[in-house]
Amino acid sequence: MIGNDVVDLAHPATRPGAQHPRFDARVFTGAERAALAQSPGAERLRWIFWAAKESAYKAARKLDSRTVWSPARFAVQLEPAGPRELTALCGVVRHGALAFSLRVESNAEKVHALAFCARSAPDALYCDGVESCAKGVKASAAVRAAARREIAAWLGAAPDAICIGRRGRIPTLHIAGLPGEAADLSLSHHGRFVAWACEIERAALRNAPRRAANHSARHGAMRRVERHAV
Amino acid sequence: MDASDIQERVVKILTPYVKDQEALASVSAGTNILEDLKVNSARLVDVVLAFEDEFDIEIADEDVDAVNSVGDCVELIGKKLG
Ligand SMILES: CC(C)(COP(=O)(O)OP(=O)(O)OC[C@H]1O[C@@H](n2cnc3c(N)ncnc32)[C@H](O)[C@@H]1OP(=O)(O)O)[C@@H](O)C(=O)NCCC(=O)NCCS
Repeated sequence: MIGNDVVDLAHPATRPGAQHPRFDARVFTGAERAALAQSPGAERLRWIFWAAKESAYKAARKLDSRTVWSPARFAVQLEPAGPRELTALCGVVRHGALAFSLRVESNAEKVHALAFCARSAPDALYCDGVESCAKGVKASAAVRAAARREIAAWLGAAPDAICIGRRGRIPTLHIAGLPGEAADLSLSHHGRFVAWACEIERAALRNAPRRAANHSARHGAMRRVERHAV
Repeated sequence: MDASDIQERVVKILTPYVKDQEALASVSAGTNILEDLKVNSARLVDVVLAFEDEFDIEIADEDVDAVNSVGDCVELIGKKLG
């Protein structure tokens, strides 16, 4: 299972001081608050922690529908990086007995986090992307169009082989020729950005009819796409 | 405090965080906070903390998780106020 979350760092809600004074105490663990207190990049780190938690929640909720969105109970641990190296981070998010592998890409504009089950990672392939969303376009539609286009391109399949549905509020992904449970999708939109992430079982791709999902070794285990309007 | 007083204060607190202004114009007890008003999840934390301040109550994450609509919010706050 996979979860993702994008945060637009220029959005008024993410600007320094825009949050309620008890925001940090409510959503972060003691260790996370200590890291924020020490970091020269605390403003960005705050949203890295937040996006990490929310992406892990989205994955956890699919594993167990009783999962409660309680940000402080999703504990983020980032692998050590230089004090200014917030650009590409790895780590883990723990929630009870579950552990999610974490990847975060960030720059001055945005944060995009990806969390996936540490257990299933060796047997899966991942693809994710962030795009800017044109003004006036509905973000929910834009993120689905982007995910469909890029997943099709990744697999060498036609866009109409990729079907995005929903189970309640949770997005579902079906790829023609693959069993229903072989692919998982997560979507996120915030401010100027839309982002998606997809996980596909390696074994299902191996057994798929070639035309349905023309995956080949040229695709790495993890692929990132970034497109922005000029 | 009756339910309509609570709802008025709930909507006032929600207002600056609402993305869909059209949905806000026709807000009712049945309006869904995430789906209709499109309040973002980080802003929802600010909203919950503002409810705590306004009504002098404590709201656990479990309580928030069970809320979907403005009416659910009013009911939850009403219960906490006893
Ligand atoms: C999942 C959640 C945390 C994301 O909120 P967000 O940061 O505002 O939104 P994002 O843009 O990052 O993600 C939205 C996407 O996540 C997906 N999504 C929604 N609920 C989801 C869930 N429970 N699990 C996984 N994915 C979910 C949807 O695809 C949605 O996109 P869509 O609206 O275009 O269909 C929020 O929707 C949620 O479910 N919160 C917990 C419940 C809660 O707080 N209830 C109280 C409401 S008053």
